[in-house]
Amino acid sequence: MEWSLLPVWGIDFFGSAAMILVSLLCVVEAYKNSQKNPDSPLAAYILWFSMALFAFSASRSIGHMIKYVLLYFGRADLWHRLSPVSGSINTIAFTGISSVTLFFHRMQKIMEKMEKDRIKIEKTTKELLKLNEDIEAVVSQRTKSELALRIAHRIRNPVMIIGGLIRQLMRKGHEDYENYQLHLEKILEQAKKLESLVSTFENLRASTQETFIDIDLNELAEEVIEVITPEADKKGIVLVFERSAKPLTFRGNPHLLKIALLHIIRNAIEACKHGDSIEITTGIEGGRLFLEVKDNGPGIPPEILKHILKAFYTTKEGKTGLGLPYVNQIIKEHRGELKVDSVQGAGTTVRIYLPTHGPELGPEVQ
Amino acid sequence: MKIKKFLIPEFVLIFLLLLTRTNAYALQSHIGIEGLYVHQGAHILFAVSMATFAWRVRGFVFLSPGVRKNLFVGAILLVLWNAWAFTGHIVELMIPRGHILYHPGTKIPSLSIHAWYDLLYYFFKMDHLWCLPAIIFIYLGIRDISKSAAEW
Ligand SMILES: Nc1ncnc2c1ncn2[C@@H]1O[C@H](COP(=O)(O)OP(=O)(O)O)[C@@H](O)[C@H]1O
Ligand SMILES: [Mg+2]
Repeated sequence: MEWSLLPVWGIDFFGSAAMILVSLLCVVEAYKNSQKNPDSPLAAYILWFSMALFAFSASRSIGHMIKYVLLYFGRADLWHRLSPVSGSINTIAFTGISSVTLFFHRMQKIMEKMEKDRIKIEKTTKELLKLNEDIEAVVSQRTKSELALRIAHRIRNPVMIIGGLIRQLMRKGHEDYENYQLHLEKILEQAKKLESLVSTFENLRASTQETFIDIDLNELAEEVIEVITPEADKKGIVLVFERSAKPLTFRGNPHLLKIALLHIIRNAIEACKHGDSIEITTGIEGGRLFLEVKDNGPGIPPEILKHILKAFYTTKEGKTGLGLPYVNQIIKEHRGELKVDSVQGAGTTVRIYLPTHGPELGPEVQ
Repeated sequence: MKIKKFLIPEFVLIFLLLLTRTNAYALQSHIGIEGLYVHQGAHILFAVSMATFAWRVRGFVFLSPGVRKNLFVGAILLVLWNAWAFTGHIVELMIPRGHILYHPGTKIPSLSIHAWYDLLYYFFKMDHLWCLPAIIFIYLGIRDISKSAAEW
């Protein structure tokens, strides 16, 4: 019985060609992926792996293909000289792919450990944040009660004296004119003490409000936009500012509010891609000032939108997800409100509302 | 420290194989039995590393289930291919030269089938039936990695 080796040769020849092609495609895909994730060790590994695979396929397949061509054209002698070289390269490629793969085994362990550490750090930070909140609550509780005690203490004396003097007066009536006058003077003295106490409190209140000053929301927005424009330009995103014609003064902490605005706009920039635009609008609505950051980016899926104000909620790698909760906190400190609306695929609108302070309300109310 | 200790056996093995690479002759022409040993050793190493890879990749949380499955299947097929090629090289040695016949006028020879090993030779030479699907699965896996990369 005699079988032609044609099928064997055919499969070997075309199989070899296909091996080269497919392994080359692997390298291309792995390269694209590693460009997309330049910091990922896994992407780097996959690229190495596919290059080793390509080296293996190419060395083996080219050897095989040359062999068939040479044998086909009756040059077995040439093939006998070439084959040790081709075979050696092939064997080296085998060991190469093995070393890359076995190295991966170690790398994976390291990455798993890194991931575990990351989760641990996240948990610890969360606990710290919670603890900090608790401490703050306790501290403010204590300050409040201390303050109340001090007030009570400083008010008690004058009030008791006044009370006693008046009671005496009421008992004796008007007969003893000299004493009557004296009593009144004493009462007045104590009343003055109370008055001065009240002004001390007013001062105290003013000093805690010192960080809150009169600012204009338009100016604030302008300053922030100036800072962030280069970041938007770099990504090819257009920033448009629709500035309200009216002055939008209010009392607030400009430093904190700038951080909040910066973060809201930065989130929009991070979400948008080249050619998208972000519109920033200021104005007055329903007796409150507002600032709107509207982008036509990818939007936020409803299931994410629900959690967006929770700490540590993020969809980005290497981010903390602390941004929006912090922004919300700042706005709340100003008795304002943060609203996030989003339509998936159409864009996101973030609005902050702030209570007004001053005459700018006038025209709107009329 | 721990990592270094673990790496040693693998690298010693690879290093030894690389040291002996000068002896690794091509199998296709049956020159030099040492070359065959080295090559067969490399096949075993290749198979072991692919088996390890397949075992590990299943639990790799950074990749989506689809990617993991494709890479797993690809690696397992490569293990099978190594076993297939390993056997093929042994069978190759058993074939007497005279069984490959060049008839005048034909450029592609034929195989005279006299014994069981002639048949084995015929089938074991068609090893691309294993390694081509293997690499296609690996390609499909790698192609989809960037899609699941968003979750990294
Ligand atoms: N303008 C926006 N467009 C689309 N997604 C957004 C936008 N703003 C926020 N997000 C989503 O909300 C998540 C939480 O935002 P944030 O609290 O600022 O945390 P981080 O920016 O650190 O991820 C982001 O990861 C992102 O997915
Ligand atoms: Mg953010």
